[in-house]
Formats: sequence, structure tokens, C-alpha cells
Amino acid sequence: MPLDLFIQQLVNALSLGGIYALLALGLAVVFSIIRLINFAHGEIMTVGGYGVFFSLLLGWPIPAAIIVGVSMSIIAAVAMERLAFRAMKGASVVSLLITSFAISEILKVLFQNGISARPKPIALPSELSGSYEVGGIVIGVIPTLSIAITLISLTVLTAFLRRTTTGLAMRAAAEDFDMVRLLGVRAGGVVAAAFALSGLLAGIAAVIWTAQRGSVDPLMGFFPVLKAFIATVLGGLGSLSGAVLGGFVVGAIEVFSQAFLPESLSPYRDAIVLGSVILILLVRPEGLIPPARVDRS
Amino acid sequence: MTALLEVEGLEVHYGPVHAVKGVDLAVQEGTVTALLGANGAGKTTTLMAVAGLRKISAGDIRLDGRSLVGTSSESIIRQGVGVSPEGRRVFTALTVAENLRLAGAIHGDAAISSSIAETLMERFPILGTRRHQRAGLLSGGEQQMLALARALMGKPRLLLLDEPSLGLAPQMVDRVFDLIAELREEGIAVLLVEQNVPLSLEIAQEAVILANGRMAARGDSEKVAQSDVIHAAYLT
Ligand SMILES: Nc1ncnc2c1ncn2[C@@H]1O[C@H](COP(=O)(O)OP(=O)(O)OP(=O)(O)O)[C@@H](O)[C@H]1O
Ligand SMILES: [Mg+2]
Repeated sequence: MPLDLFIQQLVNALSLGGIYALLALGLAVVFSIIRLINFAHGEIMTVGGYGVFFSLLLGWPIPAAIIVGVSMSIIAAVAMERLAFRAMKGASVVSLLITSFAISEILKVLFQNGISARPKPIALPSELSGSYEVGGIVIGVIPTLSIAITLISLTVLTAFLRRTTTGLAMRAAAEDFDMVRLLGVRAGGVVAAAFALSGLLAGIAAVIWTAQRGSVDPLMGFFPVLKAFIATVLGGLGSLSGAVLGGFVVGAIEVFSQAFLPESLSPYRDAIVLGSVILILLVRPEGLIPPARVDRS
Repeated sequence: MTALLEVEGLEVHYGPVHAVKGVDLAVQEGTVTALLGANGAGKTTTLMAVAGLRKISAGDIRLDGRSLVGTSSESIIRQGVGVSPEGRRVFTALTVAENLRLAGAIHGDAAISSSIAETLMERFPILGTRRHQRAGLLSGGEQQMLALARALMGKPRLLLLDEPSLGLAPQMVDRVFDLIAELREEGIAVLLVEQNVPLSLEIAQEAVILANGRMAARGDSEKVAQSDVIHAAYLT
């Protein structure tokens, strides 16, 4: 394959994989602590997308729109925890899952009826939608920015998890939540922080996704989060580094299979992604980077 | 004078399993109370009830004369209780220093927390040497030291220790009991669950023997040591 084509696709793979990685990380942070697979994570992302859309509609500058979008995702995530999941403390994994599924459906209907079932276009300034050339290779501005934002987010998050008390508590809670409480750390605060963090990551993903697609719609969060679920399982459910790696792997499989497989196979793109993931899981059933965890009654 | 910790008529159920049936005990300030009994007697359950992690079905638990029933674990710990639980439960993915730092967060002041951590790492030199290593890489004995140090990070008045000498080499067992004696001299009260009966009775002022969730004996540790109950409790 020609090198320039490969590099262009690599950029695409990294920018798409980065979005999956951010989403998968948000899912993994919450799962690792309260064993909730949050089906409504996609809608947290969608809320962020609409935040960006309405801010721009009001004529606000792009940085303001980004801040509003990300903040709305954080608020949506924290509200979800307060209003729905907090009351279910100690509930089974299945009840939590079904609850999150219900929340997801309710929000989708609200978006469809309250806003619009159709995609709403977002007009980006021409500097953003353009591309630039390096050594004869044409690379888009948006994919480049996406990769940069993803890398910065992951770096800041790593520092947060290593340095702050809340970060330490979250990592420790993933292993043994009751032991964290036996150190006098407030359980409620750790859970709320995990949701806020997942909302922040979904909000950043929403901004990037919206910029790449140029539109928002009620299902905009649903499909990427589906891929992010696959990424978390691939990486090792509950493992944060696994989620990031899984996100990039899923993104790469998706982009490269689309770019280099024959046209006739393109309807099978998602089947190819899933098939590859199943193959990897056959070799590593615990995922690529399994989490450290203690299960207690 | 009221004891620092008083447990009265404690009952705990796990669904249909009646694990603790009317246990009384007390820990006076600056003393050790040993809680002994065979496997499955209800020692860990009693300790976890005091720490607020097990719901109690009847009875009362008081710290400084105030009831802890219905109080969250977090709040109980914040009232000056340190726990080194059964199985050590160090955070294996965190470094030694991070394990201590998390436990020190209770002080809400990084400077205080790190100065306590430094003092503890002098007391447990092995933790100092391995401070940047993941706790999961420590040996069993080293993990026990970390669990004890972590329980001390909050500057507790009352320590709850669950089998701190389990699985340790004889030399290490002696170290652990020496340490408990030192802590007692420093004025920390200890509720000690142990399998090592002779050493526990030696170090403790009071002892409570459990058998099948019931109190088989309670009192002055020297008297309990001489009674036949000990043998009976371990044979049932
Ligand atoms: N999570 C649980 N669910 C159901 N039953 C339990 C649970 N934990 C303990 N039990 C039961 O409660 C009783 C007391 O257990 P506990 O762990 O308190 O005993 P122990 O004295 O600490 O024993 P050991 O010396 O083996 O640690 C036992 O019969 C045990 O089977
Ligand atoms: Mg026990």
C-alpha cells in the first residue's frame, strides 16, 4: 500500500480510536467502581453535542460552545448518578444495567420529540474544516486536532489518577471499594467523581465527534458508545489502560478494514470489527490488560 | 468509667445464617482486648460490625459512650478508628506510598499526611525502601506491615486488627506482637482478633472467646488463659 495513503488512514484511525478511547475510559471508570455498564453513556455524549449545537445557534464563539457542551455532559452524568443510580446502591449488576438502558431510551425519545429526530447541521469556520500538507501528504485539521485533544486529555487524566486523592481513591475503589471506606474516604464522593469524570470524557468525545461529523442528532452518541463497549471488553472490563488500548484497536480495525478491504465487503464493516475482537478475546479471554480486582460479598 | 469501645448484645445475620449471637465486649483506652475463637466463630463479623461494614440486627456499639449504630463506615473511621482487615486488603495496583497517602487523606492536609507517612516508613523500614513499588509485589509479611501502617495513617485512638500474624514467619509474628505492645504503650486501644492464642492472651488485658457466634468466656485475659474454655472453644 502506498505510504501516503497509509499515513492518512493512520491519522483517521487515531482520531476515531481516540474518541472510542475517551468513551471507553468513561465507561470503564464507572464500571470499575460500581459495576455499572452504563448504557446511557451515549446519551451523555449526545447532550454534549446538543450543548455545542445550541451554543453555536445562539451565536456564541467556539470556545464557549465547547465549554458549554462539555459542562452539559458532566451535568448529565452527575445528574444521572444522583437521580437514578444512587438510590440503587447494592442493586444487582443486571438491575443497574436495565435501569441505564431505560434512561438511555427515555433520553433518546426526549431528544427526538423535544428537539428533532433529524440531524442538525453545524457550520464550522473554514480554517477548521480545511487540511494541510506535510511532505506531500494531505492531512485534515480536524483529525489532527482530535488526536491532540485526545492525547492531552489522556495525559491530564493520568496525572489526575496518580496525583490527586480523588484519583487515588478511584483507582483503589476499583480494586476494593469497602477497603477505601475503611480508610475514611467518603464512598459517595468517589462515585460522584467517577460519574463526573465519565461525563467530562464523554463531553470531550462529543465535541470531537460533532466537529468531525458537522451535525448532531439523537443517536449521535449511541453508535460510538456501542464501539466503546466493545473496546472496554476487548481491553479487559474495568481496566482503564485496557479501555484506552481497546478504543484505539477498535478504531484502527474499523478504519483500516474500510480503507483496504474490497468495496464489496464494506457492508460487513461492523461484522469485521466484531469478528476481530472475538478472535482477540479467544486468545486473551480476560481482555488485553485485565484489571486488578478483589471481589467480596 | 466508660470504655473507649463498648459492644453490647451484638447480633449479626447473613440472611438465614446467625453469625453473631449476643456478643458483649469492651476495649479500655490504651489497652488490648483479644477476640479469640475457632474458624467461623464470628470474630471477623464482629470486627466488621464495629467498623460499620456489617449491618447489625440487634445490640449496640458505642465509641466514647455514643452509639455507632447506623453510622457509615467512613464516619466511624473519621472518629479515630483504624482497621487492618482480614486478608490485609492492600491496594495491589497502588504503590506503597500511594496506599499510605490515600489513608492519610482523612487529615485533609497533604503536609500532615506525608509527615505521618515518613514516620511510619521509619518505623517499617521495608516500606520506606519499597515505597515506589506496587503493593501487589510485596511479600505477604510486607503486605501485612503495609496494612498495619495504613491503619495507623489516620492517627487512630482505636485499632481493629484482624489476624495480623496470619501466615507470617515466626520472627515476623514476634515483630507484629511487639508492635502491638508498643502501640498500646503509646495509648492506642486495640481490638485484636487472632489465631495465636498464647501471644494474644499475653499481650491483652481483656479477652473474649467466641464459639459458634456465642460468647464462651469473657474477662481478664489471665483468668481466661487459665480456664478450660479456651480448649473447648477451639475444639468445637
Ligand atoms: N458474607 C457472608 N455470607 C454468609 N455467611 C457468612 C459471610 N461471612 C461469614 N459468614 C458466616 O458467618 C460465620 C462467622 O464468620 P466469620 O468470618 O465472622 O468467622 P471468623 O471467626 O472470623 O472465622 P475465621 O477465623 O475463619 O476468620 C461463619 O459461619 C461464616 O460461614
Ligand atoms: Mg475471620
